Amino acid sequence: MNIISQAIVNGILLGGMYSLIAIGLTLIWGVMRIINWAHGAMVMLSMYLAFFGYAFFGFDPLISLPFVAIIMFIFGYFLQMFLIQRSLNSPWISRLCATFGLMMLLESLALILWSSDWKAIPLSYGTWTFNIGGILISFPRFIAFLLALLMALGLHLFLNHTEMGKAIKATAQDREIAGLMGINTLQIYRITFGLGLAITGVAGASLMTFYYVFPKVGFPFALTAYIVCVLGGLGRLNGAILGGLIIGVAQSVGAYLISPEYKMVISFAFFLAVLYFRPGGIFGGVTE
Amino acid sequence: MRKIKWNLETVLFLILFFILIILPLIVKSPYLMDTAITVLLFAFLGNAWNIVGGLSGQASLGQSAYYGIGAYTSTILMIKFGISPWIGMLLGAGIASCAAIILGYPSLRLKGPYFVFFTIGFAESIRVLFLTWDWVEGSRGIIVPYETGLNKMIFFGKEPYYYIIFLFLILGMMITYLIRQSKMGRYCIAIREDDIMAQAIGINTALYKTYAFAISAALMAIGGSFYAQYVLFIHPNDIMSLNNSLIFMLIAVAGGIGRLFGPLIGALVIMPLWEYFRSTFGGRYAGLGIVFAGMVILLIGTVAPYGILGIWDVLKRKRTKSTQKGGQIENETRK
Repeated sequence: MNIISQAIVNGILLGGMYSLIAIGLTLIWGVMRIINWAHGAMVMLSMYLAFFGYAFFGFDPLISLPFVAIIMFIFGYFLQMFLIQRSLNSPWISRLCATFGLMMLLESLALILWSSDWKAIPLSYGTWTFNIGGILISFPRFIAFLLALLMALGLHLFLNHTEMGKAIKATAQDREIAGLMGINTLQIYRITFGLGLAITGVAGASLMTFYYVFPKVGFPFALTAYIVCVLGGLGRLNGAILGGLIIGVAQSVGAYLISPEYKMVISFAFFLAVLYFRPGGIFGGVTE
Repeated sequence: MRKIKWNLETVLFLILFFILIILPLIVKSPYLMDTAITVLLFAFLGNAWNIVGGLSGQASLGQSAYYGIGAYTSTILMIKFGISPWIGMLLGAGIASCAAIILGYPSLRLKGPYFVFFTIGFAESIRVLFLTWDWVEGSRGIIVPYETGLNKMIFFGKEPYYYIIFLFLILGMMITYLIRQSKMGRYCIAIREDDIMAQAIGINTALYKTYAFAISAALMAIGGSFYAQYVLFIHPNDIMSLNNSLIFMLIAVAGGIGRLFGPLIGALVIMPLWEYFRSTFGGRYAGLGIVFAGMVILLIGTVAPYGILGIWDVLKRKRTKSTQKGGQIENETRK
């Protein structure tokens, strides 16, 4: 019994991480209708940024976190400006290719530049845990979980209570009408992409406190994040949070009850069941 | 039978065909022969992907599962029951088709990105299943015993393999051609252009999507059996990886999505470079091939959405300055 509740708690903490990665993805997806296949590569990139912050300047990942977010924002802004924007009018399979190519490019460049060695940051609090009624909670994972909730709240406030946020929402609803209303939709796209990557930067940096980085680290996370997005409904922040928690718990408990190898299979079974019964996700969302 | 038009494309095609036929007589280096076989195998697989992805517009990234099913079926039948891979190949194609029909069914109502994720998930699940399945040697992989012979489909030299896969490729392309000419091809294109509209004019979209899946899966499985007999070692992570599915798509898209000669052109351009990078640069620099492939995909996504043949069309139109329509895919609406 205790093991089960431990697995559930672990799953919730893991789910927080998935949610954080999925929030950036769902923002880009919901607004631009682009699946950012390179999302895993972006997670990887921000983890490396946090790692280099430590290796060269001795920064704790939680201190370099805002810097990573800013760098990722600028990166995303220019990426959208010079590359992704060009694919907006292509048929969707070609559009799929644009970010796919980016993923392959970034992952293999990382492999060439930084080798495939696993790198981790030794932190004093990396192995801290606190014990609540016999259930152990890992401190860095707990921090990452709190950050996920914080980012979701911040993004929610930004989207609903600022001029820019409302413009983003308007563009998400109808690009052409938003353009007619005087919104520079291409600019909105750039900012959205930047913002999505900035949130990914936060995810990567906080992931770095308890995880190791290697060039292909991102893809499994991103794959789970796609499932989370679909599960919660595309473009839904609350959906991303809840979906992340569901998948996290399902994976963690499933790994305990069945076998860790079937982690991905369990997620996909969930994904399929949700798509079958509620094609728009749990909360309903933007449909393609 | 229509009369053959003697334009530049026909001549280029005949030259290419001729070169491909006499290639083993000229090339003696086993390494180059290996590259040539890889090119033809991946052209064959890209062609199989094209039936689902290019013709019907269902961008499946789970086709490597059928490739793996084919490889495993013929190998298991040969090792455990002593059945010739030629028969195993056909059985594998049948099993893969059945798998595509049964497991493809739930994916029929999914569209766009949802469909892509579903197919990835399906292939990954099959891969994990084979990795943990002891009867098929699980994560140890299977080594095919080396006994040459026509009925074992294992040969000493590389030339027989070359001609076998060349024949397969021609058959595969003929199947694609026949589908395109038939009612089914027209229906598939209608489904690709607008799925709801196709349904509205009375096309049974689920049925034709399933047909396309079954045919593609059968061809994939045949390619998988060939791979097993050629490389003589199969492992779930090698053949059922997402990477393979990606390469199938990349080849078809790079050549010109939905075009009959797209996969062949794509494979001819991409695979030799890929092999070159892989064999020339060892260790971590082996990734240069993927960097290159990534750049090609990125360019196709951003600059040339209709691939190499799309560029060819544009060049041709500029030259002749005619106003007629280029490739038929150009009419594709933005989705």
